[in-house]
Amino acid sequence: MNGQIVAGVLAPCLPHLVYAQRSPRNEVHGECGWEELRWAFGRLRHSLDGLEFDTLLIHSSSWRTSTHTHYLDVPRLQGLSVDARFPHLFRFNYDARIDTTLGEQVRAAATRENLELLPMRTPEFRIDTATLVVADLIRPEWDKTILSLSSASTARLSSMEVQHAQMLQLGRATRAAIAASGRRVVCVAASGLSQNMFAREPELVEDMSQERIGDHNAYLWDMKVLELMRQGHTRQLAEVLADYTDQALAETERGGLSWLLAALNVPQRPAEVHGYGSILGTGNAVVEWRGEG
Amino acid sequence: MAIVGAYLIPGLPQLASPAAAASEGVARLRAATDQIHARAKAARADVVIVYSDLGPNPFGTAIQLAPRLSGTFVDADTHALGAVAYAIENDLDFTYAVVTAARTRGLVLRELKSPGFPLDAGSVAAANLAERLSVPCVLLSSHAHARGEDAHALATAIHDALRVCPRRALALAVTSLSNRPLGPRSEPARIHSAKDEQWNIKILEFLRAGRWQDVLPLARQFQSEARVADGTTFTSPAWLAGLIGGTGDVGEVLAYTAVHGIGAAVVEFVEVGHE
Repeated sequence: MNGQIVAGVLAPCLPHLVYAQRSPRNEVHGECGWEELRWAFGRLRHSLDGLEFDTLLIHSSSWRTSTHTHYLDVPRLQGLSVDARFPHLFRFNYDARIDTTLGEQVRAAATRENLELLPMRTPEFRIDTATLVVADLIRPEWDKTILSLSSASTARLSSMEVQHAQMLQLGRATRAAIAASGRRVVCVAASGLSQNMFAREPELVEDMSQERIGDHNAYLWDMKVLELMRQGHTRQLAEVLADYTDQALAETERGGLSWLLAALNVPQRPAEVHGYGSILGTGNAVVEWRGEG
Repeated sequence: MAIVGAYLIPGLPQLASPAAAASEGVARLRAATDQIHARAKAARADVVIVYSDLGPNPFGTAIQLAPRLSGTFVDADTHALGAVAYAIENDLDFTYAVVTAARTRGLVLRELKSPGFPLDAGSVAAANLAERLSVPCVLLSSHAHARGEDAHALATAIHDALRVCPRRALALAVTSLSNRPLGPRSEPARIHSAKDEQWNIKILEFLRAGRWQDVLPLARQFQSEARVADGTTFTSPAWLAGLIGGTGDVGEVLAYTAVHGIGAAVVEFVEVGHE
């Protein structure tokens, strides 16, 4: 059917970015803040402007499920999503059209990879923060369908190696499903990098002096993995992912980056790093790989 | 002022969704919460204090300060159970007394006032009980970086608050025992592993015997050996011990079962009523 992944994106998903961006769908607005990352999203949007696509397919690090990956399977979801950690920053009103057809195709392809995906069919379900943050920052018009995949806790239940292997399977299944679907899809791993989050939030949340990394060694690791991405050394990246996750307490633990690399067929072409920045001590980057077509 | 009842309850979505179909084990847990309801009613409880260690906050012990919380709960994992509407009245006078006392004791609090805040399954289950009793709540959630000592200090702050703002309080500590899941297709009545099961039995035996001096030092080891390192902390027993006095307060296990691999128990502490 000639479906294809037109771009793959690694994107940060803390709610601060939507708050600072003053999104009209968010009930609370900041004054400014995290420009490095917000401008990086701007460059990403500009880059995607020239690409026709139908669906944003998002692997979410904040929709956490225990033993399986779940996917949204309701054609339209509306509501208010309040973030549990940052309720003063993220009160987001959404009205999302879900690409349930693609969801079913990913599930079927995953079954062929011996992975069971579970559909989420409860209409009152609250869409998670990470899905909404990246969807809003990548496509503020909300004129595309979205599809969200949960992140299973495999790394914590067994090991990062098992998580990585399962997410490679899911990524391959996603790639096959998209090819068969005829869709043009942007795949997004909604995930930060190192996660040494400060234990105290500044009184002024957008205090610029607090935009610094929480741990230097984690920062060095972030730079190493970004350099591997920039050079197109993704096989090497895949090999160090477990060590990186362990030593930098990285959000790659949720499996989004592994999934994305496999969906993109472990791309050997260089990625475009649109920007790197820190939110409450955590490392975050907006990274784009163009699709093979 | 008094703690008229103190209980350890599981934070399962199956208890937050009372209309959903139940396995035999979940039915036992529900029957045990019915017992809590009956005993709290007989004890004339006028507030339910909930401490959940299932939705830890990275910036402090979370305390709900909105006068009323209402919404619809759908669990991120077990969403197939459906949606549960809840409406919670908070006892703001008492809640602010707890805030003052906790700050005086140097505890770090995260004050939450947002309507629509996504409560965890345990808080919804506990709040359902308060709704059935027609009494307001105080909703507390653990600090991700806290230790048992902090939870104990929080309990002491609640005693301080009870002195200035007298209540007949029902205390509910929401936690799971071993929390490694087996998945939705698993045999419902089987704990994840024999090791987890041994841990659960050991913890329950100590609680039964009132051996808090053994439970509390083991909490961290239990956390690392029988629970997923997902940010949750097994601090509920320390909170309960601080509330009811600790050593000598024996527990009665009203129900214990496995739910998709996770250990779930309802435990009542009978030697309470400290005036």
